Amino acid sequence: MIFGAWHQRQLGAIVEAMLTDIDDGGALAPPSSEVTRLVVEDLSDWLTHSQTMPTAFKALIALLALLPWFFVGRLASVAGLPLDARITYLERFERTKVGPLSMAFIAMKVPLVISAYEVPENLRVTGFDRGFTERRRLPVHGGAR
Amino acid sequence: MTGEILHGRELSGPLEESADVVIVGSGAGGAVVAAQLAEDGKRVIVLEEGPHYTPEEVRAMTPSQVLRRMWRDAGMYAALGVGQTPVISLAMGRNVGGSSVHTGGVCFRIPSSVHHDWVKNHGLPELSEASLEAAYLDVERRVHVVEVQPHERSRSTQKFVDGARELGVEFKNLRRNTVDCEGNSRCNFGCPKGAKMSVDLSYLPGAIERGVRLVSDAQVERVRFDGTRATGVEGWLTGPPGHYGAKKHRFTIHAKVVVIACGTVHTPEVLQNSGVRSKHLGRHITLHPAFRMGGLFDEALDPWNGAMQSAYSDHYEREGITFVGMYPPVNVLSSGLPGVGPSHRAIVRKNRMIAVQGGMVHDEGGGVLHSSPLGGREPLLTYEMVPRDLARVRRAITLLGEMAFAAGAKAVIPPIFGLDPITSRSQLRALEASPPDARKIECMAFHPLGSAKMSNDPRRGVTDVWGAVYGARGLYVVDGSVLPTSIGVNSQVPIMSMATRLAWAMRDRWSRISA
Repeated sequence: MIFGAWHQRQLGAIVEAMLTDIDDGGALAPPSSEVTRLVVEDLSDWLTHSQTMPTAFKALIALLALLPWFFVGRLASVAGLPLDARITYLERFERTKVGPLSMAFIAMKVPLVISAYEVPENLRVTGFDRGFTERRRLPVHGGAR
Repeated sequence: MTGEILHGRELSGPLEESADVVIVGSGAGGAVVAAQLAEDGKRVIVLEEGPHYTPEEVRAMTPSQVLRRMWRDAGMYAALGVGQTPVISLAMGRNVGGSSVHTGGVCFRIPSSVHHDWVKNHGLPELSEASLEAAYLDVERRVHVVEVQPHERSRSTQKFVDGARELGVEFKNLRRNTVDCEGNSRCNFGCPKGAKMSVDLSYLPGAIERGVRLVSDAQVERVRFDGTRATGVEGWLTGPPGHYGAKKHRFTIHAKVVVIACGTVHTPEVLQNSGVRSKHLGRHITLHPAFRMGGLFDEALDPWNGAMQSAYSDHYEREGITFVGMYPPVNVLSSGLPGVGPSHRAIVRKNRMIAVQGGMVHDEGGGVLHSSPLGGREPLLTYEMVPRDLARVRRAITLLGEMAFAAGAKAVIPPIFGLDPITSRSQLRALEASPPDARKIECMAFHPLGSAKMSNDPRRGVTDVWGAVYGARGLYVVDGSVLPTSIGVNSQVPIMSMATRLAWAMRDRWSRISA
């Protein structure tokens, strides 16, 4: 694990918000702690394949962790926000008109989502009908166009 | 000499060998030169910085595993935008076979207009279309270039083709280097069928049969010289995956001819480390900035079934815009969809109904390489998009949206960070009229070119038109870095064809260049 305890806690909070769904009753339904842990660990493994990205990602996590005051007016780190406020905060971060800030959020979101949707229970949500390493057969749609 | 692949990470001590030719890089440039010169009886050693994975190993990887193990900087390398320029994610392979393992298989020749520009405006009659004809034919035969048939298209691509037709825009069948493609739609991340004829499957096996020795995990630091004559290369055998850049043992390869084929981003570093000086080295880099547009339909398209890339349109070639069909793995696509938590989950659930189309612009050379301020292996690439190219990107996004709406899309998903789907043409046009910060555009590139460009004049380029580095003897560059300008189309076959032409020239002049 390349992240210390503080970075793990902040990243876990971001992962949890990113993967939260709505349940049948309309309430927020966060992912299981097991899925959150898997994604954090997988991101850590991913970053070990780069020399500079571990440092860059620690800086990104710190940026995302420390700016709730500017987007939702709360003096707390991202891990200190309740789930609904965390989601609102991260959505505002992504939508900001300040290009570099929005881009910083995406730099975190892209590997996080790619990793998260390789977990089978998340992959099923996409509707994809097979595992990533499985094959399919042509013809595609019968040539009846 | 016995041909084989040596895993540098597994060697237990320093390596020192001799050959007629040492080639640095095993991608579309290096593999082709290796095969051509081996067929002429030369003793060839190929050095590849990245690891070697068998096709079976690649097929067993998920997309993120391919990214972290086989793409440069774990798939996170990007050109840093200067001014109103997006950050451009840059896909480059770091493995035996180089980026050819990670293409969508698209095979274009260099457009006639580009050849004409090189001959008329750059004073390069040696680079006419006719001069490359024999090389194109040789490459296309070896990598099995075939036309993708309409029935192989995904419904994703077909939606955009249908919409374009409504607007009077024609799409044509792409040509790709595949054998019995099943339409698994994940060419960039390792074909599960092994259908794509990347150089690790087309050129390298035959080259190794003819005695080529390929050393993976071997990072070249510099070219060795005796005066101005290149005499070999030296560098480090590196550690296993997960220890990116870890140096284990030194290696030295002695050779009569040295060929640098590290690609546009890394060739300049090797040349600079070796004392080659040119004001053009590491500059003028073009990228073909590319982007995708999503169209949300009210029917299940299962867009992942079909050839990942199957149709293209050059209708807007004069405006510097090319549209090329594409569909990324569903988790990669999901990473670019807007929203957080429930809003993101809601749109991810609609993936079966989202069609995707890609576009790219034929750009001016705004890229410059620098030493990384963070240290580490990868150089820093800055890129300043000229206003004309930024306008082209925005125009192309609008055109793709128009096509999606014409095909019946209920909404379009532009490549703008955090932007909700757009539900009307008027909103789409307003987006072009009042565009957001350019740094919010989701942009990627797959064809970096031009950092050691050819010229007939040493004051205007790094190599001559035969790839020979000015001011050095026995030192050649054979990769996308030598192309004089952007070409506006996928660069795989152009690089391979240029490499073939240069290898043939080396073969014909061998007694002179190796003396």
